[in-house]
Amino acid sequence: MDEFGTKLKAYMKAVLKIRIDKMEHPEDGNNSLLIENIDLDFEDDDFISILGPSAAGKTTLLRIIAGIENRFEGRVLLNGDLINSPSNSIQIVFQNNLLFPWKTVRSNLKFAIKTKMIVGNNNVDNWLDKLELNEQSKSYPKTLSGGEKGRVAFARVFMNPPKVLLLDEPFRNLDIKMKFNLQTELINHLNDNTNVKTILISHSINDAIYLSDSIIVVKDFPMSTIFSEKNIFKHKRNDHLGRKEFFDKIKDVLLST
Amino acid sequence: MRKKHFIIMNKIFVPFAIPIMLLIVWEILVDFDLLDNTKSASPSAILLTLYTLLLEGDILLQTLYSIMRLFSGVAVGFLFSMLSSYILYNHKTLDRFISPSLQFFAPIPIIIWIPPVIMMLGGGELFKIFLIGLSTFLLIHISAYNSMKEVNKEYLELSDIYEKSKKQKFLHILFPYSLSVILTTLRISVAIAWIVLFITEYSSASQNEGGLGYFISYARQMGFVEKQFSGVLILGILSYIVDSIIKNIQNRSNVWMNLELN
Repeated sequence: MDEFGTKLKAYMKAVLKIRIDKMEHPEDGNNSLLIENIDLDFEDDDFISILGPSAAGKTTLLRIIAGIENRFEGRVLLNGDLINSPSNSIQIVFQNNLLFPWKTVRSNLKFAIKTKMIVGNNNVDNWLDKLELNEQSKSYPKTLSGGEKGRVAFARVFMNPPKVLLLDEPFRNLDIKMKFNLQTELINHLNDNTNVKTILISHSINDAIYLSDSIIVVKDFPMSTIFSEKNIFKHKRNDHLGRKEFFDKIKDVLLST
Repeated sequence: MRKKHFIIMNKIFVPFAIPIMLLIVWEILVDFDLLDNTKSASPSAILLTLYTLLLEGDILLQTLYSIMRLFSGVAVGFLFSMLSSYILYNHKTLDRFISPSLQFFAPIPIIIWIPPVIMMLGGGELFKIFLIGLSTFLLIHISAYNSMKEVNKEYLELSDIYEKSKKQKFLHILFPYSLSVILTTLRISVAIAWIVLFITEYSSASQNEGGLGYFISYARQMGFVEKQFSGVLILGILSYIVDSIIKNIQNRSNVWMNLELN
């Protein structure tokens, strides 16, 4: 591909195709299946939420998409390229934020910058400013509140804008104010970076309806898709009745798992 | 007021009560000839001798030799243990090849190596530094490497996403993760290094550059009991100071853990 083609590809919306035929439980000896027949095609939707029972393997699915986990049969394609190792273009916010406890907030952000990228301290300062973390820049993660930890984790992924953003229950354990602040930051960022594909794992149907273009529900043992529908209510905020019906529909699917 | 007095009593007097009492008992025992005069000296006589020795200056030179040996041995051992941890962490085949042997050698008391090492390297500088280095290397390598293997793998996966090199992963994740274990082991290693240093110097025969160990052994052979105890006193004070310095570093580096290590 010529240089123009490469550039064009970078600005185009990412296309993510996930096809997992099967994956055996890595720690289990008796070949029980963890995931079976997952076929997801993210082309038009920018924000997808995955709902499902705990320990179904949703985190494993994110790890597969990120290229961290490769003990499965199938393939993950990003813009036609096979994903088989972790890289900067697919960022993940881990379940417990996973800040480095021995680094200050500032060093945590600094470490997140891809080495080859020529952006220095300015970028770090910008993000500390934007997410109101200036006062905490010299603090260690242990002293931060849940909301502050979440903001640092988001700052880390916003700093090197990825093509795919994977969120593993980032709003869990947050009080309602912190949650909405963080969601607002996320929405603002995604409005500025429209070519990012986001996949959110959540337990909250409300969060899913509020944020996503498409909602997927999975069952466990083995994990597979049992519900997949467009969420028109993200943009039709005033249709309370329709929204309620959609909520109940997802709730019933979830309860049937 | 009463409370303030109480604090002073608690902080200053109580910890030193037993040493002071022992010194007084020791002084009395020697002064009343209850201890053999050729094998022991009173604390006051020892302090007096130490004062004159310090004025003469030779003992300071010997102390310097000892410190240099201890420092170079520990530094070499430490650097090699970090290098080996880095290499073995990144080369699993090499790890399977080398680690069992290291595990085998580590528990062997370092003193046992003195005769064969003297035969190979002679009794000079290289021999002393090699032994201190070897004991430091084995201790720190085993504990640091085992600690590094227990690191939460997600930290490493995250740095893969940030496309960090193996060197960066070692410096930014593995090393800080096991730093508290490394420093604790360093303190133990230095304590053992003093023992190794003393024994190697004690058994060597170079008068001019003998170090404190030789100084003490020489004084003992000549029957200078006060000199002998002065040497021991300096050794004790030095090892206390060095340990305090590492303890200080340890406390500072553990800020993020909120740990109070003593």
